[in-house]
Amino acid sequence: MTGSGRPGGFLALTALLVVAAPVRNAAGEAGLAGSPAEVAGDVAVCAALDRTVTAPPPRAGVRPGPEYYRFPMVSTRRVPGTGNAAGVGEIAFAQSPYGIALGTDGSYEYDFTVRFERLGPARGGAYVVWTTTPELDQVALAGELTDPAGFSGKVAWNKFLVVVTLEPAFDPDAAMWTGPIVIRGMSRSGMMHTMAGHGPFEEKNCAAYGYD
Amino acid sequence: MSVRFKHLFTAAAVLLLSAVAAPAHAQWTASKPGSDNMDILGHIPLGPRLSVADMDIEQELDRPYAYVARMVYGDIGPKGLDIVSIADPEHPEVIYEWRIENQDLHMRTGGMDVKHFKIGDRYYVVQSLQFGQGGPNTDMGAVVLDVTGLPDPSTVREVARIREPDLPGGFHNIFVYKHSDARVLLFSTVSGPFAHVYDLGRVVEGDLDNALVGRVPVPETEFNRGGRGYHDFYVGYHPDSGEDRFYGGGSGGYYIYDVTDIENPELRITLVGVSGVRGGHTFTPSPDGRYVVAETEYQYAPIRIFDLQPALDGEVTNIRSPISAWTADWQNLVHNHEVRWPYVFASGYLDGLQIFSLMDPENPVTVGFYDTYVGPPNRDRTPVFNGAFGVDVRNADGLIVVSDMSTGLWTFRMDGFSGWNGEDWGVPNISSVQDWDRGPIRRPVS
Repeated sequence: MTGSGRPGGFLALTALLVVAAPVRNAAGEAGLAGSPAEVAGDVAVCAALDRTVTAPPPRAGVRPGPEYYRFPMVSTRRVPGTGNAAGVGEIAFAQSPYGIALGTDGSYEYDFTVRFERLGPARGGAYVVWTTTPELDQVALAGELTDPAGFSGKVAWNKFLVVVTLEPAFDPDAAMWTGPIVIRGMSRSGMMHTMAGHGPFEEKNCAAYGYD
Repeated sequence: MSVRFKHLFTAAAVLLLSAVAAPAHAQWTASKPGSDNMDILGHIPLGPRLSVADMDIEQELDRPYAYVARMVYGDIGPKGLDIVSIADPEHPEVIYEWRIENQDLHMRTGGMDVKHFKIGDRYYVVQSLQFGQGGPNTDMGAVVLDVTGLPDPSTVREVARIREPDLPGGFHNIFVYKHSDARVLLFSTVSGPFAHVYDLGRVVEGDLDNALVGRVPVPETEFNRGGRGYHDFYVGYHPDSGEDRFYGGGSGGYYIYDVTDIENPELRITLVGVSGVRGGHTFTPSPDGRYVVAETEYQYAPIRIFDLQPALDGEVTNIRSPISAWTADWQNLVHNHEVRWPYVFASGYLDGLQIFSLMDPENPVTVGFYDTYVGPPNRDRTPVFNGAFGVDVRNADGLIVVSDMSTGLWTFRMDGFSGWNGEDWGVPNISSVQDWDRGPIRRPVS
């Protein structure tokens, strides 16, 4: 049989590109040492998603972070009263007296915030915020969303999703959502991926037709 | 004549042929969307704009089911598969929906191509899936459902998920073929320079580790450097040679392989260096394998018709000049097609269902049409990627079914077309329709 080689070369090339790529912040300057973008390897390989995030105006006294620390929160339009909702998430390193905060497994810990506009009140239940890995193999309950103008939580994954669901009631012991997904967003580092998925249709955006 | 001038000349000839073969401007309008010989039987909207992909219908009259892939090409929509009963073609009815779990967290389009098959006395449907990185199931290429118990939706069950962790991104197009060795094989595009071939018997038995039984490469030519893959294909029996033949459109053009020994495919004919073709799309032969209908997926592209006889005679191995071309509206683009010689049933995106005849392969003639989409070109996506996406024909009675990206599922009949059997037209009874119980016809063509 011909043409049966496994495409390990794609993976190796991607790894080289990721290692070799310079990390720059939104202004095109070299990233600060220890910034989340640098540590998380937040190299945007997909120019199509490298668009400006329309963020709601920050609350008074809150300084907005650089663009590459933000990600859009996009409505699924499946829950009445939420179709026009939009939001923005931001991450920052968790505070630590040692300079860098690490979890028990050695992962970097981040503080994240999400803010929403035009998110109507929860009808017949409660909005609940979750974080999960992109593969959904790990899910963490972040808390109940009572103030759409601001919610803060912690996350310790390099790539992650923030998911807001409409649950019948807030259950602090819940391990997984049961209600419909209202709005969701993907961390900027989620844009970084292997080029092995770029096959015959490489002209198409690598993550096109995603959340927005 | 220089090679470059030859290319220009060929391109001009193709455009001229297109202009001759097609009306100067589209004849279909919102108030008169179809030709007089088309009877619209039924229509069912299926949801948001740009949420419907390809479709497939079962061929047995006592199994009147259409399978419709669901995707998100626009802003919203489901990701999975709808099963539509066409027991009453005038009133299509959705009887089952399969959705990927947590579909709102899956990236990219979701369902794309869909095919049914039968093994033993059980019926199945395989739905191709495409999920992008940044979300779950990037390695998932297809899901297989057992649909034997239809129309009772409670009997539908998922039997397998085909995954390719080393080739993330899923399967774009698929084709199911009843091979002359009696196996039912799934051909799939993957994100690599080859097509995968799976033994569906092993898949439904749960032996996924050994289900991948072959790969059909995209050959490297001067027109295909860099190892890109296929976009679409057809597999059919070639009576003259006694071979199972693979007709693939992909990077660089079109390729025809002998896949009788699926583990050792042998390249037979290439169609590369064709003016205006950097990559092939849907590619379907005539029942006797002499002519091929070749589509490319860019605006203004006509469907090209090639005569393979010089290659079948061994005079050449590459064909690069079409003998004719056809388009519904030169400003648009025609998508998938089904060949029921001499008719070609095409899902023409913005131009809806289009039917043309290759009675004279050098002079394609439009014989029927119905515009299922009278809206404007896209402004938020590729402009011409809206409207009729998929088409299928039921050979037993000539029922024509179309999936439209925005308007849903349609059923039609064309006057004078009450079914298809190749023998009635002097050609082998070979089309995309498979004989699951007996396999491909072996009668040679004189």
